[in-house]
Amino acid sequence: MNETHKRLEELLFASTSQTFPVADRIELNALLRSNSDARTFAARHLALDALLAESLAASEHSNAFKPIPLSAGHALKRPNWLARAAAWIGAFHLFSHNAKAATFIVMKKSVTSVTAAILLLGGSGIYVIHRNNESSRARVGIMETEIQLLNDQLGIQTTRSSNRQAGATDTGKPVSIARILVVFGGDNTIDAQERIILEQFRNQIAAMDAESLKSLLLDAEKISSPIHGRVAEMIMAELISKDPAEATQIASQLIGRGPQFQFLLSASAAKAFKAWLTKDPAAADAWYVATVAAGGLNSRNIAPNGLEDLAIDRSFARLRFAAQVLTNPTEAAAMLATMLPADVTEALQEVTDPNALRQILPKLPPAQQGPAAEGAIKAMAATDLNAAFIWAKSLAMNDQARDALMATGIEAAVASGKLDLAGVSERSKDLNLDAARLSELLVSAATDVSLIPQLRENHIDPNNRVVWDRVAERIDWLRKEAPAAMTESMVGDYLGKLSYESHNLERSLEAYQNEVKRQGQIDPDLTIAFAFHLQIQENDDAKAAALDLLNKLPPGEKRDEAIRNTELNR
Amino acid sequence: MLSPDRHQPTESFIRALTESQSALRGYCHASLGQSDEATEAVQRTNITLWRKCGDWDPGTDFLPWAITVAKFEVLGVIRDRQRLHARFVFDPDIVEMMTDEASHQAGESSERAEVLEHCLTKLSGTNRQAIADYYLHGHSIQHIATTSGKGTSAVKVMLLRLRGKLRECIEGRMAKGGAA
Repeated sequence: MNETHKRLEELLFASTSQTFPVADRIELNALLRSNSDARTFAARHLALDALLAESLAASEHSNAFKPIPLSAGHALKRPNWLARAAAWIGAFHLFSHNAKAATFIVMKKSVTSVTAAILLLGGSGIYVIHRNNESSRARVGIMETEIQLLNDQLGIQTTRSSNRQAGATDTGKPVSIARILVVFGGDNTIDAQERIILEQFRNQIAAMDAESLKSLLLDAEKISSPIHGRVAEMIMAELISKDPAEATQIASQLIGRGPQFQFLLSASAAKAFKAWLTKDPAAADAWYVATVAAGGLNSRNIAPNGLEDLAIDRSFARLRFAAQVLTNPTEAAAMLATMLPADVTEALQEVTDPNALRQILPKLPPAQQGPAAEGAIKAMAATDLNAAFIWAKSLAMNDQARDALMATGIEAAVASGKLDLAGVSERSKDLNLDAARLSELLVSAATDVSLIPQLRENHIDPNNRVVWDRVAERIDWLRKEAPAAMTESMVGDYLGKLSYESHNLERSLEAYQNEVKRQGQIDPDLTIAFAFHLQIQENDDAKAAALDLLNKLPPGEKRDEAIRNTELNR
Repeated sequence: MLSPDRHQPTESFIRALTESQSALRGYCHASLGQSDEATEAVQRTNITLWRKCGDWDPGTDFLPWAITVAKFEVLGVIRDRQRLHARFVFDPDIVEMMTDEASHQAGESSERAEVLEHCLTKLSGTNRQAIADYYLHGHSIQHIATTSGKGTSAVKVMLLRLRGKLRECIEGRMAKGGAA
């Protein structure tokens, strides 16, 4: 062994220490970088160390188990892959119990599972080895449990699992990630059986601590990479509720591994950071500042396609800015120079504290002030429109911007059931709104009062979504309040929105025909506006109905353009 | 979407995977040094191979394919750690070089493992325990020194000497034709 090899041996030996000096590390890397012979020596050295650990582990395991031969009178011949498998399995068990400091990406579960799978699929004979050995029974039991977990994890059917009725849930066993992936993996429908599985999984993860959830998330990514967005979202939601700091950091680390996963994590990371800012603003802010300073967000600043504002450097900046508006207005004002105007507006729309907003709004350009205050006025108007109006009038902004803001307050009051159409007439009459904004307000109000609140979130009952027998009454109100030149298109917009919101094409077409009958003619503006809302629906029947209505109109520029757009959208 | 059928390994796959463990472990450790990263790379490789079992043609050599997978996992570990600004034993460019070097030696691992098992039987109980404490159980030299009543330098020299003897034993037996 030459001097270089001796020095290399010393350095490689020392490199396993937690306190391996930086200078030695630099020397080791320099030696390897400049000398191919050194690399050959180092590779042999390190491979031998790995082999040594493995052989020692296998040996300790074999001594502990004292396996009996598979067949009496026939000792295992070497090399024997089954014997090696047994030794390897034992080695894994020992490694998993003796591994040095766990890293932040811990995959012990996966490792033991793969081990167990080898035991199951390749080494059924290993059971023969151990099953009559009294001292081994407990350990074999543990291995069998691991096998079952792996089977669930990877979707493998074993003798035990295949004995179960296909598709049946076994509430005594945990629902695996693999099973959830299958639930989400087919078409977009979830049947009753799958709903039970999802509910069981939700209960399962609700009972897990943050560390376990983190491991589960990483396991899930290993099984299906990129992870299915909805699976990760479920786990992340639970992790956010348990430990938003951990959730923020793990989501930030995982972003960039795949388009699907990244899209999900961009949204989940933002939710996590928001929760962390609420729970411990100082720690969250310190982490953000340190991470940005280290360039830690740059490598993950990959925007999902078409959703650039979801890139986490922007979403985190928005959230931090919104938090600073509440706690540190001076810092918030200083941040304005570093942010995109659209992000400032979006961030401030999340701020519902009127006093905090009052301080930051004057620092914005006039055109931005009204939109930035929309979140606050919506929140106030949903409970007290008078208070919302008083607050809006107290803001230092131009009259047109303030009136537009108050119109937003009216819309929010109607949507929350605090104001009827007569109230809308009364409240809007003194507002100086341009025709487009007034039209928008009136149609929005007419639509909202026509909708029946749904009992189940994310579920619309097409037969019980709209008060259809009062549609004519709402149209009459619209005709009375609308700017003359826009009346018919507003009615068409209103009917179209009812169709879109109700998912009930039949009833909305009936409402349209009723209005045609009432007016005694087919109005092109009304029909074109109505058809627009039909053609933007995913339902092919709605698109076909839109074309049918448009084709019945006399040729004209607006009508022809509407037909072209509908054809393009089919 | 997960395709359960692709996760039905054949006996030949499991046999090949089992037999390649020494080589894969050696490859990852040779590429990354003795570190948690190397252990993680082995784990990742096994999981990926398991997931991709349907991609392997039993008519071809398993190990070259497995080493290719392992290389990606080694580089994946490095990439992930770099994101966190973690410090490695080896610099990233050295890891790249070592992956090439390690792949040249991976084919010998199974035979060396067989020989090593024989060589380990030559050690005394005390020496074997010291080696196991350090290489298997991960005890520090300080810990071994304290429990054995020796100085840290003496323990370090002893371990290097024992390791050297094992290496010589392996090389000697392999030169004579292996473990048989």
